[in-house]
Amino acid sequence: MNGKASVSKELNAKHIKILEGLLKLPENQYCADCKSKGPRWASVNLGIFICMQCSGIHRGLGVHISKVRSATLDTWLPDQVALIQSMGNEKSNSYWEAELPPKFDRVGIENFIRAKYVEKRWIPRNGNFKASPAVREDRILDKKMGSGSRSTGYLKCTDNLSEERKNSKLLNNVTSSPSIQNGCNPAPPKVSEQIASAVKLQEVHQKLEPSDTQARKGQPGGRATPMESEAKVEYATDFLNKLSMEEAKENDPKLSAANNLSLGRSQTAEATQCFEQKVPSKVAENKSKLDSGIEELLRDFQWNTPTVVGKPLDDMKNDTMSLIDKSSMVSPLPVQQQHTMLAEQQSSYMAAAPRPWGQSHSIPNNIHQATSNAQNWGRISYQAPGRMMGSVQPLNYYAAASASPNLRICLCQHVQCNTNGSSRWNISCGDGQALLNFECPIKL
Amino acid sequence: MGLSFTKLFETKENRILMLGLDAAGKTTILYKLKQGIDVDDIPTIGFNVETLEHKNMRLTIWDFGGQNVKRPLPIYYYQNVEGVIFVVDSNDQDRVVNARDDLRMLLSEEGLKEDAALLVFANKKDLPNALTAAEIADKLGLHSIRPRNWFIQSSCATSGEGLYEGLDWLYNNIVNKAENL
Repeated sequence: MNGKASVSKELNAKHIKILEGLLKLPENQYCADCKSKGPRWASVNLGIFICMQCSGIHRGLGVHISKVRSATLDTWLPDQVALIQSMGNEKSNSYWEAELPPKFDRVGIENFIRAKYVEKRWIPRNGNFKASPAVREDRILDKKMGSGSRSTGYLKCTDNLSEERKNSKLLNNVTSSPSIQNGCNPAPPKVSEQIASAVKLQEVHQKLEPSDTQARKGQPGGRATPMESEAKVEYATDFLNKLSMEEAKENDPKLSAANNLSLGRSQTAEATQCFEQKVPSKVAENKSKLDSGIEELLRDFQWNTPTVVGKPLDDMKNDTMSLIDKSSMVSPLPVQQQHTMLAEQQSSYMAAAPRPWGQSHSIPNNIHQATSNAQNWGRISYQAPGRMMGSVQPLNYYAAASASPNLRICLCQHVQCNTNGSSRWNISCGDGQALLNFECPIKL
Repeated sequence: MGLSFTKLFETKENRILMLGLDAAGKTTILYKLKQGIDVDDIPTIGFNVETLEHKNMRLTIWDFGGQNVKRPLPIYYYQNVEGVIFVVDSNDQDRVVNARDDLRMLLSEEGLKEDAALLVFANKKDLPNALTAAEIADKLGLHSIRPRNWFIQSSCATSGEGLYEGLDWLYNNIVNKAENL
């Protein structure tokens, strides 16, 4: 009955450790209400850290509004710890202060706190936020585009908890990001930032891994060790082979789980290449973000060109795989760049390999479609029908995003082959509005 | 004789302990009684002691912080205590169980005299989810407390409602006890 009595000393020590970790997060280093430094108190139902002064005011609100505990003196219950871990000051304020004017004068902190939590004066008014804070979490996530640093912050502090939750379905969820695996509710990653971050890289790796490997990984926060990378490359090889054989399987479970933005898979007579470009899972929830449309997506993308030239034949397979690996790590990029990249690499491979790996002579119409589940923001799939070396057939790349109003369908069309070998590409939206028209100087 | 007894009585200090879970309103009650003001107090770390006069009786009220690291109190705090004020947040229905456990632990303290009276404030009765005094009494298991005198009074510390009624009962109890000696 008495929940507090059920918290053993060890568990309590663990909770204190977690709370200390949370207090070190940048967002929690200032009181959620008055912004004074070093809060040591918390509201366990709102999931925020507050200073002592504000805690007094919170206590006065009554426990139906705010339940105040000391982060250092009190015994916490596991669910309280879990809640504050999943909330924190930033996420909480993104709800309670959603409509707060930017330079609001917080003089008279008691009135401010009462207006904030009792009158709910600054909660979002668009009708999307009706539930209680805990229930709202996912929606708040939509609003608050968390960065990689936040995720890593959680990772640091929640190693303890990850043990407890190893068997939770969150952990086994293939789509889960590292922070989910740690038992935190993750902030959905912002596409452009996240892709560049180490966390993202790790995530991509993990997507390529079987889920049980994920479960075994105790510390998803760090970068992949070389050993891990190797294993992943091998897995990627299998993955690729599988794809080659099971030509263009829609709803491939792994792919759909990875729910990614996949750009590019192409087979030619001499070389096989596959580019997997993962866009963070849960992007579906980032609907608002996607509203900015494909332009932003394209603009934010960065591209690093892996240089693979003159490798011995024996290494070819591994190199290809590592290339894939790299590609998936670094390269959310416009389709046309991807294609450019592809062409470059193909040339280099051909130059390098007298007897290239992948003897599959022209498997035509190799379609690789990454389907996404309903949760996803959509899918961008890639099609290269009947592509042969030097072919003048047009190549069409399709990208579709179901959840975003602006990014409906993106058609990337190979419109023209010039006599000098260069080609003209066109990227357009589903409604026919052209986004990009450019000439690709690389010979196909 | 009567006069000297009264004089003797007046000079006597009555030690009262005020305990309860954190955020029950102990400090607010203390300062409402002492100064008549409604303080927006920060959580009490350690304790507050105030002496107040009530009907010619001097009460020294020790208000201990509710954070659990401060409990149980060392045994010498319970010695020569005439009465215990136990404050419950009647709005916090989830933690009435915790309050009951704390109360049981408190009453089983060896240092506490058997005749020390128990006054329970069912505080924060103005809040929406507040239980009535009778419900609190049931949930705290007050009816099974024997042979100690106890009394439960619903109160609202911020408005001062019910506080003096409770103090009156405590006063009468102590006076009766003194007269019976």
